[in-house]
Amino acid sequence: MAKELAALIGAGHTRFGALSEGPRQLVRDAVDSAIASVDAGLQHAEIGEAFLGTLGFSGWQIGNSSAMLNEEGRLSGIPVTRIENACASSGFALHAAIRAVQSGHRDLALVVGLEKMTDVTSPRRRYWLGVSGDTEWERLAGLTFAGVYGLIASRYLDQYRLPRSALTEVAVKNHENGALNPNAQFRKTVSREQVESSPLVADPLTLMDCCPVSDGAVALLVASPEVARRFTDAPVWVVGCGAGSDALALQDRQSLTSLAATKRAAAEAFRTAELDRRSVSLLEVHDCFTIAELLALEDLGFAEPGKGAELTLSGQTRRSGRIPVNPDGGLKAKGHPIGATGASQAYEAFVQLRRSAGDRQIAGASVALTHNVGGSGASATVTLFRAG
Amino acid sequence: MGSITHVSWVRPSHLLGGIGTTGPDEDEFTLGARALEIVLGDGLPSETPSRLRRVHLVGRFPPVAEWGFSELVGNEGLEVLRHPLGWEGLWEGFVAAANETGEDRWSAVIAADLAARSDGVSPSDAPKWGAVGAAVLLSENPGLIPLGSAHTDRSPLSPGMRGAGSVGISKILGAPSDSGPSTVLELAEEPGTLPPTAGAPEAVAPESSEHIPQLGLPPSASALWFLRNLDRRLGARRHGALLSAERDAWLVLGVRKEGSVRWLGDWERRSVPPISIDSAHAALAGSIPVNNVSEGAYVPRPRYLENLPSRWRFEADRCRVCRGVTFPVATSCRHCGKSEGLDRMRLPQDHLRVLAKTVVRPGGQPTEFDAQVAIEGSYAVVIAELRPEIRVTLQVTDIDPEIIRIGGFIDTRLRRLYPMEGEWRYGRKAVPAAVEDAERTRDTAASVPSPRRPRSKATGRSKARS
Repeated sequence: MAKELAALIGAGHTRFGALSEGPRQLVRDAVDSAIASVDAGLQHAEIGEAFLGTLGFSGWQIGNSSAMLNEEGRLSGIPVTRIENACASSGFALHAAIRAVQSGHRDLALVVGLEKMTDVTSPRRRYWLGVSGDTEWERLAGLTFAGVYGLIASRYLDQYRLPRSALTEVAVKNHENGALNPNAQFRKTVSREQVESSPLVADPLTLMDCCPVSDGAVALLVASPEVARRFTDAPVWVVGCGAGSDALALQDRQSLTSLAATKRAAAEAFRTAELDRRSVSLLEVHDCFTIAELLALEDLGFAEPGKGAELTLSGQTRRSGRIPVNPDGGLKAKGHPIGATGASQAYEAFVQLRRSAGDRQIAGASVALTHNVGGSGASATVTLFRAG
Repeated sequence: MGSITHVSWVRPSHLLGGIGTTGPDEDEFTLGARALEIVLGDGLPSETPSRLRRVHLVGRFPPVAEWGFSELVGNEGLEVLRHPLGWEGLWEGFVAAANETGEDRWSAVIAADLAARSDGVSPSDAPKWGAVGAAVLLSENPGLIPLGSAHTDRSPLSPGMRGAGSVGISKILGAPSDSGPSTVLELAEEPGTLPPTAGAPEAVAPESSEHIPQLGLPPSASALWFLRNLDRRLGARRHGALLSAERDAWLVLGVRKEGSVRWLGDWERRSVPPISIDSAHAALAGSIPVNNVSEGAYVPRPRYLENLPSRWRFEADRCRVCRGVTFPVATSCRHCGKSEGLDRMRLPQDHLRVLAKTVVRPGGQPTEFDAQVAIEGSYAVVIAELRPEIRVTLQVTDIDPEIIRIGGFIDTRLRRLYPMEGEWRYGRKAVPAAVEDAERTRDTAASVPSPRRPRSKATGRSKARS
């Protein structure tokens, strides 16, 4: 087994949903709760560098939000870098923090993922929901992300001759998990009928195939392996890291039903971790739309092409199944504050591997994989965590 | 003198009470563009667009027409001249074009006659009824030669009009000694306006004459339609004339027949189910607001213009080194990165296979499409295959979005996309393929070389005459 790259020693998570708190308050709450979660205690001043993942949704402080993190995190003027990689912003921010401590440059780094999406009017919000996609071809043809994933889903179901029940199952399962997560936006189960009879947004996707619009922030404390045990006896080790990019527009990618960026990220993460897929206890995948979870199962190497549906329909991705997927409810039920999602997935790995996930705890969880996608597959990160 | 050899007909996509009516994404420019594409696509040599030197526009074309037709055919040297809407403008365009054409110097006359329905709505963006025709004049191929037109305040059929020096049919038709001067009269009837004197054809003793109704078309479109009838009825005769009675005056248009004219168009061969009349009526209720949103996800004007060769003409680059095809065109080969040795080519615009499809439902559209959705409701978007591994994302227009299916075929048309920064943006959209023939080989739809790098003339000519 390869040596540890870094350690998570603390993590904080606000509720996700349509919240009254503004972005500054969300950042403060997430950082404070991350610091409070450190077993042996930690002073703000001990943090050496910070990385902020945010899209700057609706134009809010899109230019220079790093200073805001310095203020609200009481970071005493350390370097702060904002990373914007669409929905994968904080997945990439986490990787930047891992590299900062892995290189020996810093002992301790902070990652914050943030998005505040519900402050603005609905037309303005819909306008902004497209900024991470291809504007020259997809947007001009009248597509938002729901439309792009609608194209993917139509092709996937047609190519593998599958019924839409495979999509339904993802929504039902993730809502079941989200109901157990106190931070989730939707804490209620849904029936198959509710999913399939909800209004169509972009065929074959219904409203219940789509993740919601959410506010929220997440903070992670990343330590170098050398200092991690100064802060906790139960660090969660980062053992594998991979990332990739692809063409921005679906029309320019090799496949319409597979994300090359995910495949590349997964291959790199498993190679660095020297881990086998069979040792993974749970997956946190980027299910912005239900179809995306099926693609993720295949691209991450947990199902053959076209077999993600079967794995899901057979119940193997439920919390009690062979490979639990999105025990926190996923983007679908937990919510998807764009810049916060990658960090939120790592938060779930942190609590699951420390056996502190409460009602949704996966028994015997020892290795977790998180998968964060930007755009409709233009970029992706995969991170592997092992219990300490 | 050049002659009319190709005439194409395009009808607006919608039907309202049996009359062709524009959809929200059509205007004079998109109809004229389609008409020109039909003519240029009719087996003409690939260098035809570069031979096209001038376009005469008859109708109220939007400002984009000043550069849009040249962009559409990929010929920067194309000149655009405007003529007044109506019969006279049309004839003025024909005669001017016939006089200026020569070998390697062709002209097109594009008439788009759309009339806003007279119910008091905004004339700019409300649905319009009417039709459009385009004619290409070729100097080397004989067809119909426009002789000229004249106005008279007395019926050309009345005895007094035959006198020497007066404006009449004999003058228009040229020298009486011209062999076989038999005359065919086509009387363009404006119901209720044609005076009784018109019923005296013996005054000029034509071999035949016929009244034909205006078919509910506006005047320029009617003129093209009559021209077509005239050509068909001329038979072995060499001269013909059209008469139109307009209020208190008569217009006489004369032609000489030298050869055959190719009549093209999508009136008969394409059957487009009309969209719901309710939504067309909804469109009549108000014009589409110009969207001036200039933040977030939009395409700034310079980038829109930069992309037009690929967006309007489906141009791609083929790399001489790796043979890879780059679409949309970029400054270098997307496969091997070489920026030199790229040959411009055109990918097929019709009969493209659908690989993926979605229907964007109200609320699922980007805000730029809000007005369109308010008028027409859901629309389909497809990814279609231009050639193996080369795909394009297109909105579907004209039809019920449910009709398109994965594995089926689509054709493409230039249409309005949406208003932005005070102007309409245009791009290709998908319509159901005219030929739903899976057996049709991909080769016939394969790329043709760019007009900017023409093949040898010899090849082109032999093709033109075939």
